[in-house]
Amino acid sequence: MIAVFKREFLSYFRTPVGWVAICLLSVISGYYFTGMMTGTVAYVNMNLEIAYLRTFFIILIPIITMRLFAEEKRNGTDVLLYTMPFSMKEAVIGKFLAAMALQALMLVSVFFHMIITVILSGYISSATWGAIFGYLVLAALFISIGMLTSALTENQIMSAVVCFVVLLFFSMLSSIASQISDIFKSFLKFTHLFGLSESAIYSAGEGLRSVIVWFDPYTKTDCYTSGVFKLVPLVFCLSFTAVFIYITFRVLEKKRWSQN
Amino acid sequence: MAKKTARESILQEKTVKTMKPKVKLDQRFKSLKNISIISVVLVIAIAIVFNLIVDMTLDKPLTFDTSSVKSNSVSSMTVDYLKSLDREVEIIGLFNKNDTNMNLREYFIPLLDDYEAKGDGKIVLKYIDPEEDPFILDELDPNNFYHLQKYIYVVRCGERLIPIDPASCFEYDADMYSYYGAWVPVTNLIEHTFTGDIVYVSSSRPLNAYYLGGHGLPAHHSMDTILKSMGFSTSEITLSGSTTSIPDDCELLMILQPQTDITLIEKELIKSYLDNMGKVLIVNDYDQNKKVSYPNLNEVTRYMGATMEQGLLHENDVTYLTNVDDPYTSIAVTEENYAQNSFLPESFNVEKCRYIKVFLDKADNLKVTDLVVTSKSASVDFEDSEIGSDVTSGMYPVAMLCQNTALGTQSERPSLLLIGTKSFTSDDYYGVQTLDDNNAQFIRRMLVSICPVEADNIIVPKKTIPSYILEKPLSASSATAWATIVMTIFPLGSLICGIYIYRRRRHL
Repeated sequence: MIAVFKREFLSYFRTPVGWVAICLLSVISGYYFTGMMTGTVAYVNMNLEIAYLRTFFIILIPIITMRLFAEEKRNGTDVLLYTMPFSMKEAVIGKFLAAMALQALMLVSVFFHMIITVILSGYISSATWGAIFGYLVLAALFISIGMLTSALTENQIMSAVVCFVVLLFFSMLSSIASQISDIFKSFLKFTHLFGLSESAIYSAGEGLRSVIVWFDPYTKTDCYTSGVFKLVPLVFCLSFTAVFIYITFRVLEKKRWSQN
Repeated sequence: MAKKTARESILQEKTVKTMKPKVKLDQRFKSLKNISIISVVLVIAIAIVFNLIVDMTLDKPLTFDTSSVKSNSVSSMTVDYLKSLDREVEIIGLFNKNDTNMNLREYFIPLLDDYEAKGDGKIVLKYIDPEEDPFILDELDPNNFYHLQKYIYVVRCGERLIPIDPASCFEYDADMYSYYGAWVPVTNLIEHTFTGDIVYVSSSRPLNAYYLGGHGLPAHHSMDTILKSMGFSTSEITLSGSTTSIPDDCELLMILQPQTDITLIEKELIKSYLDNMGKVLIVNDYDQNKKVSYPNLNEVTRYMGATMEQGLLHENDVTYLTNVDDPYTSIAVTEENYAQNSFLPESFNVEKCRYIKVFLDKADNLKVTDLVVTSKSASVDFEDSEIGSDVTSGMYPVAMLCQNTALGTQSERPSLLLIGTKSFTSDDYYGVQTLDDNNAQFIRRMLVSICPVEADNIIVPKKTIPSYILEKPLSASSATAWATIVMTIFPLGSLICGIYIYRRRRHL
């Protein structure tokens, strides 16, 4: 697993992918940080910067993960993964950890901004560390999703596009939930399906919305940015990370027995 | 025909022999595929169920406030009160919980979640967007009395309701606003406000306090907060025009810093109110109205055994002065005899106090008690120096309680709380001091002693918000320098590395 991790992590820097990802994140974070620092009031709240960076997962994660398995398949080197003296699980976890390490390394620009803030006698709250923690937990979940999309295809662009769409769906889950809830309420209202009262229809719609929003990782991890530590979002993100890693493993294992 | 049949049978036999492994392979493929699909579905189901269980059981116990001033969790004072609640209180946010357009939501959401978590089921927290459910506004406020709208909170208990504007739950940096027009919050009053309002809506017997309007009544947000925390509902009353009587439900009538004298009608109404076991609070503001005489108001105070004079207390004991150059801003203390039987704090801040004293011709049934007094070496500065020629240095009252002992029992009898300074009630004072300081405690204790108040002393301290504003303001040139470093050097460095590696390795 360590060998896979090393190979994969270093390969990010043997190709432009790692450098471009770091450049992209440092431009985005730098833009936000400069905006705070040079505004009318120099109000520098690093929590807000980290929360802002989370919205760019939909671009950064596909870039990082698109080549994890797709490239191996295209080059035909994926056969080595089946014949090397380590299990497929170790290969999957090694690649996942390499992507996570790159994601953590990309935060170096944020740490750089924190140092500048301290130099300029700004305030770094405990919530900032919570926000970084939440960022990494969310990154783990999204990287596992990106890794799965990469394992499903041998075309990197296709992998990146599918990953982008999935992450876009997650980032819009709250508003999608509201839309679905509204449609559901209108449906119940006009069809008089169960003869429900106005308040019952509203409650049913809200219930449906809550069920959908329960799956929203952004909302779940919001608390870390506010200076609240909760176990539930951590368990949610890590357990579903494990689920997606398992599915990736299953997808790759399929090649051993599939007739197609 | 027979030959053909034999040939066919041989061929058939051969075909069956070659087909056998294929069938086996298909079955193996199918079973592995099924196992794979079932295991994935099972893992997803287990993950969902596991998360649901964790969500339901561990969400509240395993939530920790990591903020430096504990702004995301309720204080023990609030927890104690919530535990003592005997009825359900609803906190309703009139917006979607995930609506990021709600200003400063990061301060409200976790704290109010904590109210619900620590409320022992007595606090019900809801978020209802009136745009999605327009009926909610009619349900909460059928007569549109409170003008409820999106992005405000409502605290409700039974029929009692109080709206809370989130913007009013903070104190803002006045300099930042005056220089830059930016509203930068410096003090967090969310718990302070919500707990006070929960006390108000949940108190079993409604108490009504009225401010007498029409005489230059100043802003009274601080007094509102103090009174609401004690279960009072506050409103203004003008005893002229259509309103010609003090309402029967008036538990306390407040005359705060009057800039003009009351009318003859008001005088008679207040006297009659006092005769009906009324409670009156009169607060002076000598700084603003030193040249105004109050014959009618003085007649009311004399009716209760005290009088207001046109003089200003002058503190001569330097140990009592908060600023040695200002003899009118000093410390006052609880009167020695009264202190033995009360739980009042020892000292109070006093600024520009009017000279008040016992009315010499007061009736015998009137009991006048000095509550807060100056040092023994204070004196009085009169506007007209000839008036005060007979006043010597000594101890002078700052606050007095006048009661008519002939009527009612101890807690029922007519009472007048007369205070010579605005330092106990004004927004100016509480703008720089907290609502749990000694002066605020004095007001609360005195109101508890004269009014039938259930709850006492539930004023949650304000919480300071750490400032994210850079202490060392950046000059234009240094801002440009930092911006250049942040925006160009770091990204450019990594981009150059990427291009270099691409050029070196593109043929590999």
